[in-house]
Amino acid sequence: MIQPPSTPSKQIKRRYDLQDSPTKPKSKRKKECHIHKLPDELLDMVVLNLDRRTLLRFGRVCRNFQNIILPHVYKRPSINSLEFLPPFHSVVLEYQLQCESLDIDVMLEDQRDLDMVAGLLNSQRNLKHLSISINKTNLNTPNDLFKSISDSNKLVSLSVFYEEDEGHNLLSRLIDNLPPSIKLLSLLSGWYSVWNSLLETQIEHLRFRIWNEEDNPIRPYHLQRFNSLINANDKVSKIEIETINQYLCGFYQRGDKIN
Amino acid sequence: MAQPPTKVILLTSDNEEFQVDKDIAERSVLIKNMLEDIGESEHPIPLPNVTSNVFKKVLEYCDHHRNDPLPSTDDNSDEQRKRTTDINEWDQKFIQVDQEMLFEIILAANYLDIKPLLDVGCKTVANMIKGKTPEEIRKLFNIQNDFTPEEEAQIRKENEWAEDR
Repeated sequence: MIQPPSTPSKQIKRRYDLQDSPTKPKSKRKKECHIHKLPDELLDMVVLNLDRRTLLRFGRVCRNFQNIILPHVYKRPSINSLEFLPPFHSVVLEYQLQCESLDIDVMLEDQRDLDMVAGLLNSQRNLKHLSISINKTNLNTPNDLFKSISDSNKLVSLSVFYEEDEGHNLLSRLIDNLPPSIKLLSLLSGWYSVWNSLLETQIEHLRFRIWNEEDNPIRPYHLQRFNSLINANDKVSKIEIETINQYLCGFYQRGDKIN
Repeated sequence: MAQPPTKVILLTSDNEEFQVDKDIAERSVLIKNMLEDIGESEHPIPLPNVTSNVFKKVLEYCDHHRNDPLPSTDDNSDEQRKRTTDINEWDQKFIQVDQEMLFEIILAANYLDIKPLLDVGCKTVANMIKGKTPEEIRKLFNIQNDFTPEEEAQIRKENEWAEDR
């Protein structure tokens, strides 16, 4: 490879300055903050490499970092008092679990399970983070479960997978009636079917999953939609779009970054 | 007789021209796509977001990794890349630069779409952060604490649920 011509040397100038005024006190060069040069998408990639403890500490550095880590904290909730949730039927209500985070890692389908979770949520006084997936069938309805979510008045983040047929509006109703404490709503499916509710929602931070197996699943009509949403709803300050593998692939943020 | 490698000319934001072997330049997906779009051309390809001193470092990386298999786009390898913060020895030495250069390299790797270099950069930053307290991280990167004491206390309280115990 041909080497490029060398750049004019700053070192020569610096040496001259020093010789020229030996008594001049060294001017202290203001230490710059270079990490803020990284856009949020790249900071997000850095954060992906952090363990949870470091992630939380990183979030306590400044407001901008706190915003960056929030979705990751919620994506990796820990469940206090419960060793093992996936075999969901092992959750016994008599334990009176007082979790602050529930990530129910199974697709709920039986009405019995839906009711069980509704009952479980009703017994929680301090639930802040909930992740839930429901497979809608003709034989189930999540009415009671959604009511329990609406009544969870300390809930900060909610992640929902729920798809319903045209003409149904349970998910919309849930969004319209979410507790005011909610700051982050992650819709793992069906965001397009609740569009009118999203235009009115008071939730600051939205995260949508696009079900498309490509690396970048965002299409121009998605961009139009998300642009119009953030323009139409002053309350929404951040929209994130994730792929089916939960990787962030799009990002909107209202206002200036804090430097 | 072996053909000499094809060269391409790249022009950085500070108007410095670099004549580079095509296979090295094509470690950048951005440049590869541009070359495919414009075909053979004697005109330099402009890289308005990269300065020459950063680009020299990027070329050093691409030159060293010129024979590496191109990163796969399948999800498993993506997962693999994200799971480990290990950086190989050469890359570690390569990325031992001052912070300004480190972040410029990350920005350039992102712009030029050189995923392995972007990974090395992000993992390096992650490794710098690991094990440090918020105050140590602020000092390391010269970041101002813009939380009020009340906000800090609130965040610490909110995070308790997720801290490893």
